[in-house]
Amino acid sequence: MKLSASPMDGIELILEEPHDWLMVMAVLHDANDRDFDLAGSLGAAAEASGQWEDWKEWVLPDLREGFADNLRHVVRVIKDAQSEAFPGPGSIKIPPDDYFPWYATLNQARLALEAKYRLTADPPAPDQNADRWAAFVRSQFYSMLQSQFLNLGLG
Amino acid sequence: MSDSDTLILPREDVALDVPWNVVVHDDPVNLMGYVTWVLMKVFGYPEAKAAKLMMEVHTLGRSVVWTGGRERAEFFAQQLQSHQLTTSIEKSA
Repeated sequence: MKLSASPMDGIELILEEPHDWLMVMAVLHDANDRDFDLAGSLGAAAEASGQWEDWKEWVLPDLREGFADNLRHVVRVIKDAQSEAFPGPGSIKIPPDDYFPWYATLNQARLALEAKYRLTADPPAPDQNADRWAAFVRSQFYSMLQSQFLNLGLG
Repeated sequence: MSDSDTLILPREDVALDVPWNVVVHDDPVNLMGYVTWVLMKVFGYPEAKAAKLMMEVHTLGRSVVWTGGRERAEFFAQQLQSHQLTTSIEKSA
């Protein structure tokens, strides 16, 4: 996989091998982890303040919908690119206007991986648990992409 | 007026509006540049102030990023959470 970045045109992921598609598709799987309630986790610190019940009723549904919107957008872009090219080489173009939903979806994926595998507190080694190592590699890949979006300006 | 009518006396009750803090908590995932960008976007802070608050979050585990009325505090907390930052509000000491 190669990445081309330009301030005007945005980012292009150039997928050269079939496994490059799998790496990109993994974002969707990780960001859509049903066992991880991102919206709930972000307000967990409010539990002690006595506002949690109101927050759950009035705020969490909007947060969940916003996160789902970002994910749906990225799913659509990847599926469209995939339907044109898979399993052959192809590319995914991400214009500057799309940086935020991409960044947010990658963040969702990394937060879910962190909640599941505790990767930063105890980084895995390649010869240890294969699932944790694969999660670590994916998280590093997502983080690298996020840095590209930040470098170009999120908007 | 009958003998049993209730006489209602007005009483002034002045309650001070206690300020509320919006608190951002550290997490191991959000990139420092992103946290700075969110604080600039949500509050309109200049980059230097946003970066200082971000470093407080990073080094101290939390930072009070805004203080004011409760409704606005709740609004800002929701905005920060919509950017995936762990956030709470608390009464200012």
